[in-house]
Amino acid sequence: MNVIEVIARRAVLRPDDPALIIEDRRMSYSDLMLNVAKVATGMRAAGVGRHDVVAILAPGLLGQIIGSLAVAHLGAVSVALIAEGGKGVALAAAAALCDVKYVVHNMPDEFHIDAPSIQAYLKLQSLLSGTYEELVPMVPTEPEDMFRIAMSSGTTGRPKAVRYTHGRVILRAQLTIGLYPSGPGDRTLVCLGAGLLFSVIYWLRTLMCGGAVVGPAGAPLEAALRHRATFLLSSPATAIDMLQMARSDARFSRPLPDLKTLCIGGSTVAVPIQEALRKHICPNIAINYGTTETGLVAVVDQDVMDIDPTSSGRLMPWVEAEVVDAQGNPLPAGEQGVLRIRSPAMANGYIGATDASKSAFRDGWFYSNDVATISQGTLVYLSGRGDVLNLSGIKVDAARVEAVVARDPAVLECVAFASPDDQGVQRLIVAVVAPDGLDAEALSARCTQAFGKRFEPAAIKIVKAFPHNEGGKILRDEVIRTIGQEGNPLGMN
Amino acid sequence: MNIVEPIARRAVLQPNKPALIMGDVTLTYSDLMANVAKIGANLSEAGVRSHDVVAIVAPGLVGHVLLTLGVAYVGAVSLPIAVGQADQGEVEMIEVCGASFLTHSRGDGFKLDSVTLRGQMSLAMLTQTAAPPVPMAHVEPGEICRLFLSSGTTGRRKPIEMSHQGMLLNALLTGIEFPADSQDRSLLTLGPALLYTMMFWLRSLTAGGAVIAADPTPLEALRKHRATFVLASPISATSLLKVAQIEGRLAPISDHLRRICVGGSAVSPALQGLYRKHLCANLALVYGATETGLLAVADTELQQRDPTATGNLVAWAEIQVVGEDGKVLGPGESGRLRVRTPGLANGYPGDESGAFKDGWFLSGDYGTLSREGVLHVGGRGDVLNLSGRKLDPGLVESVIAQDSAVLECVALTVPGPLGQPQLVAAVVAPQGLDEEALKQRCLAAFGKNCVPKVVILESFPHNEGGKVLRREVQALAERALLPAR
Repeated sequence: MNVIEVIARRAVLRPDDPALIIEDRRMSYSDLMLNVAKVATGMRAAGVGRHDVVAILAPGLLGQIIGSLAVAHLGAVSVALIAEGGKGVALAAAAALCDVKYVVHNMPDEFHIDAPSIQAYLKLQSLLSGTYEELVPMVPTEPEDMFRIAMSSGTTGRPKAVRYTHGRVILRAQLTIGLYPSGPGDRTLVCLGAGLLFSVIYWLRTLMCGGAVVGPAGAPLEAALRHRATFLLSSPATAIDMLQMARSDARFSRPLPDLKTLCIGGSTVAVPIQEALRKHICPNIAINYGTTETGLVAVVDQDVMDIDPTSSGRLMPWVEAEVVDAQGNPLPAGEQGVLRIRSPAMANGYIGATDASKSAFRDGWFYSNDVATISQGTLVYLSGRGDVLNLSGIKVDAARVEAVVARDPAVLECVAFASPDDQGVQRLIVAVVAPDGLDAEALSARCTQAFGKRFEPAAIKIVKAFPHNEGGKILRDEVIRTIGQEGNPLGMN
Repeated sequence: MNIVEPIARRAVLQPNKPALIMGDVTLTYSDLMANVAKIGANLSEAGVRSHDVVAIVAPGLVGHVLLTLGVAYVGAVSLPIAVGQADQGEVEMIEVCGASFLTHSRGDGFKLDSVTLRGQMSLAMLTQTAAPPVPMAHVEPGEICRLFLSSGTTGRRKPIEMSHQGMLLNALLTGIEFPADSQDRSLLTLGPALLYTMMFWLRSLTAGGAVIAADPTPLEALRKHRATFVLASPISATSLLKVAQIEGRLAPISDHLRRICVGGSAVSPALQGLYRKHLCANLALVYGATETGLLAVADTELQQRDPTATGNLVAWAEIQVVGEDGKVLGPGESGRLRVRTPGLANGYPGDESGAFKDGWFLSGDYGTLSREGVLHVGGRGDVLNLSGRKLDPGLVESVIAQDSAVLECVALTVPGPLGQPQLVAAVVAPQGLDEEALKQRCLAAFGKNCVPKVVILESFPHNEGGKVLRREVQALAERALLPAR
């Protein structure tokens, strides 16, 4: 079954219902499916065939939804890539890894990716405005046919290409409906990159149920209020931004009247922030823990709040999770180890993975790099791993941050780690050995330029020397502990 | 994953919330899991191992759920058996399915002598005897947890293998169309052993809701325990309807009821209207099979738009309508239904009929699927042959049922005076029937050779799942027509 089949049925049944609402623009189901068929027809004319990989470079909901559905319409495989300044190499590497044949984009005309597999560049706007004598019919697909490649920072911060079939994505989208019921009256506001698989699942399920997907168009709170959003999908960082805004605006002294669920994914949310979000935005918040590879694993929702809101949530009824040792052997209940996950809706594997025995996907399980304990087989407790920094949902390998910090020759050694501020929000702390002094401002600028504003260091600690093991490796945990003992590393109260 | 695992997690989150309610007995989630673990320990002590088939004779909700979960707990396979009036056909299934143990909720004196078993154990013994505790068995997704027996309306009963993952997905996917949370209170008005009922009780227990038994009667349980949801067959829904009509209430039957779900066989437009009026305005009609789980749901919007529709195809299922040559037909064309779902049964053990092939199940049902995903199921491929004129009985029945007085009907043929087949409409219409109008509708729809003789019956015989036993209706109709011939 093709992912778009259910949406196509909706369009026949209720052609005039709104499918997309972006600012003042509404697109009905029949218009959406017409646009999807047009873009698909244009792509077919350019040579796109079944199983071809098509990269979509279109920031924004409209382009992502129409682009992804049009690619599926042809039985081809979509992958969302992001073009950012200075990341040309990463983009080319991702395109090569996924064997991208076509690029659908709304970038400038001269846009180019340095990957030999690419055969043609197609402008989304031209495909949409093209005139076609006959529109191509939807290609039926098997459940095992690929629908999507999702780029994941994975467990190490190095990008990986995750394979998802039509069957798995349909099941993943459907299973979220049992958790967060959805129907034709729903308005889903997506405040995350529309190309992220996490977002794709939620906009797909909304369209499968006959609801409308709402784009934030700038201010999420304004959009939620104006378009009477019933479901809001957000990262912790966006939720915190919304909270700051709500606190300074009398209209948000009470939760949004139509919002049934505020769904937050990416990382844990500190308990004081959870409480404030319930007061100002939505009494019903759900914090998802999952990975690109497995989908939703656990949720902190009302059932969990009463028991332990500091946990990472209750395991979903379709998910199996076990804590294992370094060799992959299950550990006794309550012990800490690496989390392995199995679910009928998880990804099919990585692209380009050669050594099956070393793959994170083996024996039907996905071996994550998250260290956790599971309490009574039910509640998951994640423990920060130290070498992946998760700042409000944006995950970067600590080693990559350290490499950027260390670009200044004055930096002899450095350790980057995350620590909660007085709001409970994880912030970047950088410990540096720099006996000849350091340009702190330049260091901050490098970090934000490379990884975004969440990675602006909240504190830069200059120390005399780091402890090392006999092999010469920095004892990171000891560095972090020592700095912690000096008191609040952020110097905030 | 073991089907018991999500329920065990619920017991951690909400140990004191009610899980099973039967009469005056309420089992909380922690009671439920304590009993399941104890049954598991005793089964293990008795020698039951992974993959052993364990027959269950337990018609009541609590006993059935406890034994089913206890058997799954040790990784064994449950086989529900209905030993009503010492039904030899059912007992034979114990041997056909290779069951080596039997568990039951009967008295301690109950014993089946006609079959060879390694052990027969009562629920009382399994829950009251102390045995060393054993951990819940880890199972792989494809491992079998249950053997269901096919309905047998068309012949010999066949075992159907359902895996732990398939069963759990059927329950969770059912929860998409019928959302449940920890406030949910679901009343089951038919036996807990069927896949239809098991996917609903498993849905409630994985979501933390309460499952209510129809004890002492469906109506008393519904009101006393403030059920929010009722699962029914046309027979049990009609019994509730009769009580409601006798009471003469203008309002629906209960203030707490949010939705009623009726499945098992088609419901006439007249009955749909009565259910909505007297039982619950939010009526859902469902269609599925033991081999496939839930496939289509008709909500009130569809019931009013097209009362003859079977339902909207659920989003996770695929249905192809295929012709006699196996070719896939287009929207609106009539043919045999072929189904693929994530919750599909593993198959019939040792079966070579080819019903399960390449991930698909070839159903015995015929019908059409429209472009918007509306399914019309019309019979099982039977054709009424009227001297060369071939009619689909489902189509004829939909014309007969256009009168709101018609509660149930079956279109059939009997030999006429000269041996030629004569069309007969067997009808249940307690409020009286305009026979002339019925004949006129058929004349207009199918022509002059297709005007039926009308036989009014008090009621139709049904099987356990609520399906009309057409052969028995045929016999009743023939008997009713005898004096006239």
